[in-house]
Amino acid sequence: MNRPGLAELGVHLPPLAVTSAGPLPATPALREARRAHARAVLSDAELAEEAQRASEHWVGVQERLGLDVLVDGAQDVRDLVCRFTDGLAGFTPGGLVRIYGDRYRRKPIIAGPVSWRAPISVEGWQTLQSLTTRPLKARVTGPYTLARWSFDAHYGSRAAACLAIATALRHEVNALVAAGAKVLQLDEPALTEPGAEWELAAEALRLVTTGVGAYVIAHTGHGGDPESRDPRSELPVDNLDVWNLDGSAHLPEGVDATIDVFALGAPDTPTSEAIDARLREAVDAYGTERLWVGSSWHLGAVTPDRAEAHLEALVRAAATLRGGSTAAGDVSPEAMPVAEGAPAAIATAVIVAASTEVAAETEVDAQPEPGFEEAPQETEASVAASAVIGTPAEDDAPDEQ
Amino acid sequence: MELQAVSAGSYPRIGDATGEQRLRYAYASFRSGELTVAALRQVEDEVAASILSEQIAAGLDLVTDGLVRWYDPISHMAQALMGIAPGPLRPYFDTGSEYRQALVRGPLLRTRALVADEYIFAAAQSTRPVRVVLTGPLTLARASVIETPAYPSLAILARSYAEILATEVGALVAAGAQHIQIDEPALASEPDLLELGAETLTPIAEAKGAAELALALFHGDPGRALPTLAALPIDVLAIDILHAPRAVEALIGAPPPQRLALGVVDATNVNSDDVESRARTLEPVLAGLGAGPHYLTSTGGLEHLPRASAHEKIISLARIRNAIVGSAGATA
Repeated sequence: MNRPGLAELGVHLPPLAVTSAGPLPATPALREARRAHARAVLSDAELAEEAQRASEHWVGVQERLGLDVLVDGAQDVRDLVCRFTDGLAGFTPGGLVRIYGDRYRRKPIIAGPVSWRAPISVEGWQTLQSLTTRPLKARVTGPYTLARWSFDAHYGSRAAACLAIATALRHEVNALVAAGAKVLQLDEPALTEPGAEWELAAEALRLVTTGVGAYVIAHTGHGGDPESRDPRSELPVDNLDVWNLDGSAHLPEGVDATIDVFALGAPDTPTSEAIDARLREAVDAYGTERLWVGSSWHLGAVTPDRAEAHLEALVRAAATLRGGSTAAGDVSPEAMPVAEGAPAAIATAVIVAASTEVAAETEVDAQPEPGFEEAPQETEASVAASAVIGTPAEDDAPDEQ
Repeated sequence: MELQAVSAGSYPRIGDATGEQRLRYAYASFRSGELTVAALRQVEDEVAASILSEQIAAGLDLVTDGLVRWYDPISHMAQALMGIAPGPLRPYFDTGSEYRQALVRGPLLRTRALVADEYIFAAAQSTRPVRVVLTGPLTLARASVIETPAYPSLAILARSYAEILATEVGALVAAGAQHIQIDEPALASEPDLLELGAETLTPIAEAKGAAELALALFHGDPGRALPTLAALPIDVLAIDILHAPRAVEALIGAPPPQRLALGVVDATNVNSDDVESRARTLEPVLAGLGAGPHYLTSTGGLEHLPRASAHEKIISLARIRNAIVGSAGATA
């Protein structure tokens, strides 16, 4: 399925549709709530209410800024693995395991046959979707990542565990589509890891997505780049995240690309000009018809102000290219119909572009680490860790979620 | 045959219980400026001491400090070297953990001890011999990004790391270390680098003096490399015998002259390690070995497991040893 296919589902997007990969930073109120929860002065229910308010806040922000396809912002207190394994039969909660430094996450245990019991993410998606006329992505953590990032005490082989999880997740995906979700995002950050089994991941995703009746995005944290992808496999999705601009020839036919514009925390913070240039390069590489403009998973690791600035810059850059690039001869305004389902998108973007120059200030908050004198830079490579692991650094109090 | 149970290196530094998360709170306080580096180091010392005690109580004969001060296996070495800047995070083999890439921007210079101070502390705390761990030169080189003409190739950079590690080994020996382990997962997973890996181990072996030098080849199957490694002046080869079938085949068919540390407790999963089953797995490998002492260990550091599970693993390790040689075979 491509953009016209999405239009048939009632989702009318412009070329260079702008979206965010998923995680956005916790709001100050949510951070405070997490601290209070850690001190046992806030109940689970109260924390969940604050997380919901934070999600609603970010949906509003994205709509105001003019993103074309919105995300929930991953304000849920659980990481992207436990969010689903907690709801599937067969999993039991695991203990804390270290990822890096003092970053930890809970690693669940597959203790029995995995099966789907009831909708896990449907109600949350419906609630947020009801707040906006823009399409809200329904994000599901992919079966390969759930299998690889869990301990298997039942199946004895990753393939068996992965395919069982995929079968269970198909029920969840069906429930999301039945509830009205038109754009699904399968998060598979484990595909960035050494020895990633692409063929297995593809087989599992086929179980999850074949004939599902929605536009399916796979977000891998750049495991989707042609250089790192196992050429023997092709993920059965409609859209794959990429970073490199020289691999369009290797992107499977009919698959769109979501290009990350920002290399957050890279040594050279992108200026507005650099962002525009990167987007133009991406258009040259992939063409406007198959290109989406995306943010990084890393947005969850920066301050809310900076995340918002990143999103603003993203929308501005896409809008500039849609409407102001004819001089460069690469995009025609006539070829860029305004999204029917999102009439405010481009107008909003133009206003933002006229009022704000934010890109030059965008950089990730480096966290001090004992040992190195120089504060380390976070970059795209730590996308998965930053996306799924809440750290004391982020919340000022130990909190594994 | 003398058979000892030994820690493979890392160990979980926190647990799920509130009282086991002191180090985590300390890092959070350090980040917010409420704790000095010195105060953070004090907490690290206390956690290291508790891990040493836990291993001794479980019955291990040779213990480590759990590498509790290491952010990751690469940056803990790199931060003691001039010429390196911290880079982005990358996945560390198939462990689910990450390391910070070393950006090599100038000639490398060892500005302080890499782990010698940690060894001195651990040795003073422990009633059992302490094994000290270093990341190997090949793994360090593979985890580096060369951004300087000072190192025109991976091989030249690896040799530079090897010289630095040899200096550190000398310092460790001078401090009294008798058991030194070099972790070289890159050598286990990339057999094409075998020749370079073997070359870079030579200066380290020359610096070890009378200390026992172990080469840990976890996170891969080094079966093809064993004949070459057999010729090296290494005292102990540490090999995963649960996930490396080619290595097991080679060990049974033509045991190397070195003593072995056999990874027989699964460091990758929370499953219980059945003592009798594991003992049977060991039988054909042990049958062809000399008097030893040989070691039983886990299939890698245990830090990728929850602490409660890691604790069960080291208890299993001691029980497997006892099942084979009886508790009398362990270190008195």
